[in-house]
Amino acid sequence: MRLTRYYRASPDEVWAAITDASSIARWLAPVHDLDLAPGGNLELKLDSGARLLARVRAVQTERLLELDWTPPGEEPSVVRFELTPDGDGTVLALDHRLIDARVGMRAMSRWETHLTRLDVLIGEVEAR
Amino acid sequence: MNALEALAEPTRRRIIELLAEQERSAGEIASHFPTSRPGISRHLRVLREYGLVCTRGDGQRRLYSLDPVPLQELDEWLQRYRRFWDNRLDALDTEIRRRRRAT
Repeated sequence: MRLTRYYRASPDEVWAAITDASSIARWLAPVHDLDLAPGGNLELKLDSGARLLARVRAVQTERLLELDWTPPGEEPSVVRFELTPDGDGTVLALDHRLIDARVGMRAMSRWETHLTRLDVLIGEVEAR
Repeated sequence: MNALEALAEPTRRRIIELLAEQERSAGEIASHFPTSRPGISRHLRVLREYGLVCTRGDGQRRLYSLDPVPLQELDEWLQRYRRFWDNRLDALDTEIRRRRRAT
């Protein structure tokens, strides 16, 4: 999944907004832990109270931030922010890839849930 | 393997793109790839098994087309991620403006 946005601001302004803890809290989620060196952790507090853990895979100041992105209960996926200067502004490309197929399959196969439920019911009947 | 993993393979994804344009025979599909014809047939069989493409007979030929249902479900699922980031990137715009006013 890829989204691109144009912001009327220089790359250093956009970079500051995506890496400053108080800014992240305003546009993404409250920050519990922030260390943007390679291998460092970004921990976000979700509305549910659960924590989302992101680990820095790659970082290039004002250009690139790539994170292993692990929402609670999901396998890690990869989120990448890439900044490119464009005239008076900056283009931000956001890539969210390697989203766990199983998460998708859970959403895709509603019928599978029904079949599982049916299996459980059959099991209960047989157990009686 | 599941339907999403079936789609992760580049040749199969390209086949899906070709079929998104129009219904095609196996020969037509194979002509777009350097891979051998049996190789393409194997990919088509996988896509069929996962319910991503369907076939109909047309005389001697077998025509392949996309089965839209699983792809729509996949799309709806991806839309959730898209909406999440869409909202967040709007909020980022607001935050960039706020920082600028603050300096």
